[in-house]
Amino acid sequence: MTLTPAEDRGDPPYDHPDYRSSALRAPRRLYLLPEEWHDPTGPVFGESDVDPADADLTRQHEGEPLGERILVSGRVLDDAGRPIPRTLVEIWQANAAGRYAHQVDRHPAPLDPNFTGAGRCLTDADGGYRFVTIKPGAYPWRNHPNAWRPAHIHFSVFGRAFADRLVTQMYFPGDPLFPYDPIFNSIRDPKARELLVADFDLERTEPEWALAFRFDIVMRSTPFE
Amino acid sequence: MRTPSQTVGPFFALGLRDRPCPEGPVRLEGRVLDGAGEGVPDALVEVWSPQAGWGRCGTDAEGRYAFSVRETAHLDVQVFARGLLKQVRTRVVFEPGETAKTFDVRLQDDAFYVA
Repeated sequence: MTLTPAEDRGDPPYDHPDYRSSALRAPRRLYLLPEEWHDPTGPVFGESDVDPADADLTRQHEGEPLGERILVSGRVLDDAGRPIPRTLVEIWQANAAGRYAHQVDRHPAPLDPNFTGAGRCLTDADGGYRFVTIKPGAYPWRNHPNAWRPAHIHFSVFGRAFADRLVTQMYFPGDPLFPYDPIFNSIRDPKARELLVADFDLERTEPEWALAFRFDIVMRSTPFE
Repeated sequence: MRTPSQTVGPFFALGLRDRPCPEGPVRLEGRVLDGAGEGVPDALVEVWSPQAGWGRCGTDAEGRYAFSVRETAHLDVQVFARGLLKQVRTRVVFEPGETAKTFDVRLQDDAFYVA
């Protein structure tokens, strides 16, 4: 196996026995991408790919969802600090009770008829995005006895090149479940883990309405442009 | 420092909806298989090339995926799944004039690439 530069960027290793699902799925043969396969291009998204209503997960049904209303915003940047405008940001999450509106989720917590838990938007000229949603609940899973996932929101981002594609999870500050979660702790560098924990953002809080969290996403800047 | 990757998890279909590539005459299909040779029913396959554009497809109960794409010399392929803390990357290469290709992704037997 070739040693990979992926470790440098704080990514988790594929092989992480504490995360049981990786046992039969983690790849075993990894090579550096051949030079001739480098491609600085990727999909381009536009207004037709999103509806402005997609960024407000609390207004996708007749009524308002239950739970703690929150604003999640931030910027998508490359690792040279440049904003990545007009890129597609997609999120999905559990409801306030810790249940996903997905048929495979068997957690005996209530579904919320007013919450699907999926949103998308394009970043603006400064790489900024903003979602209105509900704070997701923690939920149990079967990885090990009494396993619970810390509350999180899944994020998918495209960036400039398809090679830069990133799927990750945003966590909430001060979660007592952090030390016990093998997915969060698959990232070995504590500083890299910290990048997945949103900051509480009092300035962006909307008084009498919603708390705010800030989550910036730093992507690889394609070196082949 | 870059934002690290985390697994797409089992419920990605809520947020990452299937999208076909721009329609074309080339059929690409296959299965995503785990280390025991079983189909992976909760994988997401994304493909891209400048000629064929972008598409994505969640696997079915047997781990199958399929795309119909324009003619292209290759497609870059990324596969996301529960159990993968980051996606795996590979490439399908087409012969000139090839209109149907079966491309299985064996997560623990095939070679993958790190960008």
